[in-house]
Amino acid sequence: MDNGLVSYKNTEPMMQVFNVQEKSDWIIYNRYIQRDLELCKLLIDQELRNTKDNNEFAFYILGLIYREEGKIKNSYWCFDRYYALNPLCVEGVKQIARSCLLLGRNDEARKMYLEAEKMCREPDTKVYYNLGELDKSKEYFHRTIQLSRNQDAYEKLASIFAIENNFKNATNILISASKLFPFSTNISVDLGLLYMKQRNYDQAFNVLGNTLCQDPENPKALLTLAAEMQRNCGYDEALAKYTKAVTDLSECSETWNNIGMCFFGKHKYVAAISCLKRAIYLHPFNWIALYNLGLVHIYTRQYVSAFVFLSTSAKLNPNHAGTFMLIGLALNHMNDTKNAEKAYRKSIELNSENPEALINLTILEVNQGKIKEAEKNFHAFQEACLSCGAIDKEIIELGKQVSDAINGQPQSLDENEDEKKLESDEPCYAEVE
Amino acid sequence: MVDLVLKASDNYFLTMDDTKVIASLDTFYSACMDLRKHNYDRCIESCTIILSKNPYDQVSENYFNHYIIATGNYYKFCLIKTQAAWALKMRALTEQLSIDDIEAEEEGIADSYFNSDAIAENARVGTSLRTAQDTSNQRPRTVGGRPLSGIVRPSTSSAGGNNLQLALKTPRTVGSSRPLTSQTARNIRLGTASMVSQIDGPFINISRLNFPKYASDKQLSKLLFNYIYYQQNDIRNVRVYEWLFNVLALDFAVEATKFCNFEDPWWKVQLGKCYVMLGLLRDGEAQFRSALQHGPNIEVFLRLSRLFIRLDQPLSSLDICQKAMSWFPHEVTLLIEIARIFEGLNNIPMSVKYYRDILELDATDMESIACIGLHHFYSDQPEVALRYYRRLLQMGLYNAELFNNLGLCSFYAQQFDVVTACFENALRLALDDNAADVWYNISHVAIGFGDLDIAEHSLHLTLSLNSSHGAALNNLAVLQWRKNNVSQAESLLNSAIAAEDHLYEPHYNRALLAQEEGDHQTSYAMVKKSLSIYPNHYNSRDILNELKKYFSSL
Repeated sequence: MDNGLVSYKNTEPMMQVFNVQEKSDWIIYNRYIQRDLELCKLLIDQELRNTKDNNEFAFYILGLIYREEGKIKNSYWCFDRYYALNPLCVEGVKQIARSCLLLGRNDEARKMYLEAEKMCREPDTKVYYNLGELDKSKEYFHRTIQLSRNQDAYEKLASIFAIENNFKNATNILISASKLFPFSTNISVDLGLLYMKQRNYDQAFNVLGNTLCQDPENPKALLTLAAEMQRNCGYDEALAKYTKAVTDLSECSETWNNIGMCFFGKHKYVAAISCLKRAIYLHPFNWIALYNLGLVHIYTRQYVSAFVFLSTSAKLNPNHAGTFMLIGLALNHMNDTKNAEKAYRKSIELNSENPEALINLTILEVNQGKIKEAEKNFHAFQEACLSCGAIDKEIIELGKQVSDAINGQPQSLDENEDEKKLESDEPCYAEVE
Repeated sequence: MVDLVLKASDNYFLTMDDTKVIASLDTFYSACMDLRKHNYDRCIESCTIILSKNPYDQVSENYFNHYIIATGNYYKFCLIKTQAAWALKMRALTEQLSIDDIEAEEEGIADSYFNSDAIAENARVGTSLRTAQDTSNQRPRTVGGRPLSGIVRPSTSSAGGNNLQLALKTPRTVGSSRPLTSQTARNIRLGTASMVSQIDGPFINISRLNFPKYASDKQLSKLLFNYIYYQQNDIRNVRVYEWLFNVLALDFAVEATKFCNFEDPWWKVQLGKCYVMLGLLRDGEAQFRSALQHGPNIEVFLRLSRLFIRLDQPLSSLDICQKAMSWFPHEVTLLIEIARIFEGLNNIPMSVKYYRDILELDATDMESIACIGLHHFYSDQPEVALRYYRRLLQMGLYNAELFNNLGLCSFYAQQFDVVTACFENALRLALDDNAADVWYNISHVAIGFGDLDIAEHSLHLTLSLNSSHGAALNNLAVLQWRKNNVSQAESLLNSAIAAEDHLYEPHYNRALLAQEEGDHQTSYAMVKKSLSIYPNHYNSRDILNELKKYFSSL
């Protein structure tokens, strides 16, 4: 950590000579370094009384202490006094600017930092780092990294790249950061998540596994690994990881959602429902958990409940095609074919290459005897199957049956069949802030 | 049809005869009968008539016989002397107002703040009701910061914690504009009741009573004591009975050779009651304990356990109850007491276990059913909770709270068809103070159905009924936030914090909002408060860590 003494050296040589005369500064500094903050405050109080508020160093340390206690306004005042006593020192300007930043007065902060930049003789990494938090962040963070090894700057820069979908740069930065800070779990977890996003699962596994070696209870790493295991149908391992994480995150809706979907994967529907319900209790606007709950209810043949949950999910997020497909399915089971058809069409409207919605619509139309329309939709389904990569085998089988039905014997389709292509459950992969 | 009519007319004649017979009877006898029928007003009336005819009513042999038949042997002794009508009227006046005062205890702020009996300021976790560990964060908490119970009892509204500031600040809601004072609720009611009965002057002028004379009368003294204790509600005068007891003891000491039973445990219990009322808890304890040496008595055990709860020693209280259980193994009131203490200690599983035991002994105990139902509801078993609440409905309970709970249970148990009906019933039966909560729950149901407009409307209705409903303000803020009305959300959160600061949610939300706006100081202050209310909140700790990082970097 950078603190008073360092700034002290930055000041003018003249001032330094002057300051040596102030005897008690080193005591205050000592106390501050030893984190004996209460005593430090008392000493500062005494010192300020003795010098009639003329000790800038005392003000500086007092400002730092106030900031750590969360009293930003007081600390702002202290740095202001420091600046008034010593207007040539960059440190004062920097700290005032930092206080402005913490108080949310961003414009003021930027002006101060730019001023500080002018005052500096040599480029100062802190100034660039803080400027980076305001605007033109990429540029400034880059300069920060060039000037010093600042872990936060690396993380920030990587996250900016990630937001811009520039995953390559982001991973590069994180890799170099993890070489510089090999024991930082934050960086390695971020790196693991990035690999996950790029679907580079093996790398992600390696990185996250290493993280867990260092910090076996890192909730982010645990959750990500568990989610990955869950994706590969390793439900028991995933559950073990989740139970480790849940002690810490018992109020995290996404975790409960994933646990629920683990149980669902193991065909334990009651447990799944109660976990998903807890997820919704904790976060009523979690549309993914609502969607999953609807899905589980369709499996347990409680179509009314399924409809209620799915429609809630659709109200909260009306842009998810899968929700409408499931609504259609629930309605179909309740013999409301008219609305079921509407729901399928809505789903297809949202995502025209959704093979599940298309095949379901086709089946519905075959059952209603509208063979022509069914044929049209079936072609769309075949195209969708070709265009998107991984498709469930059951859907393809179903497609074959449907094509048989369209070509030869209509009405022979088993109603129960269309339940099978629901396997596309979507556990949401929690990334805790 | 004819038969029925005939029968009815027979009955009519009979009752005519009955009233005629009673009217023809002696007034004193009819007064006695009225007392037995709990017909206190008429009894008092008759007594007043007798007393106005003959102020120093001497009991004749004739009356005495009637009275023995009427009330049994208990008053034999008393009535041989004098003043039967006077005693009877006193008894009627007392019984009119006497209530079961074992449970009716509410500690006022003054009591809790100036409490010199508390053993430890910062008691170890699990040994005090005030430091009860918060294990079940799923359960909402009351204004006092205690977890919600299934039933409203006198003690549930007490402002737990001996912090005067907290007590003064928190309960000042629309419902009650003033905090709990040292005057207990029961005392207020009784006080007003005695005022009413004193329209034509007090029945007995206590200050003029010749205490030694009445105290020496073994039977009459008890009646007089009860009269003063319940009817006059003047504890300071009852205090005199300490002295009276001494006089009694003295008198009996003289006559002890004949009557050796001057060590009457009844008097000890009464003395203990008076001491507890006066706040002299340790003296009260001594009296109760010495009363127990005469033999086990449920009432005394209960009073002793209550006393330890007032001393904030729930474990001793549990000890007492367990000892009592060894004497009276199937006593429901003792089991209820134990269950309540465990609930107060936040040991919900034990509490539920005892409530289940109660239900095995007494299947109609509403408190147990309600508490077990609540427990199931908050442990994700709304279906089971629904069964318990339906049982309550079967037992004839018919109020807004029950229908509200039924509605919520059936909503979470996915019985969607009855939800609306239940809430409609709840709203129909609700009074102003609980209608706010019903609307609040309706807003939750609306959120559950994804209809955020209705949710917002019902939250507005909640606030129109109870403008300081913290949870409603908080939820409304969240809904506004979702709509990106950040400034409105901020002001709503501020008022939620001002209204009820025992909730951590508004604090956390405010911190999150402030952090998004870049106002780190407010965020820091709020997150600190949130963590002081709920120390294990992961998200709050996350924000705090982030802020600390901010503050420590240069």
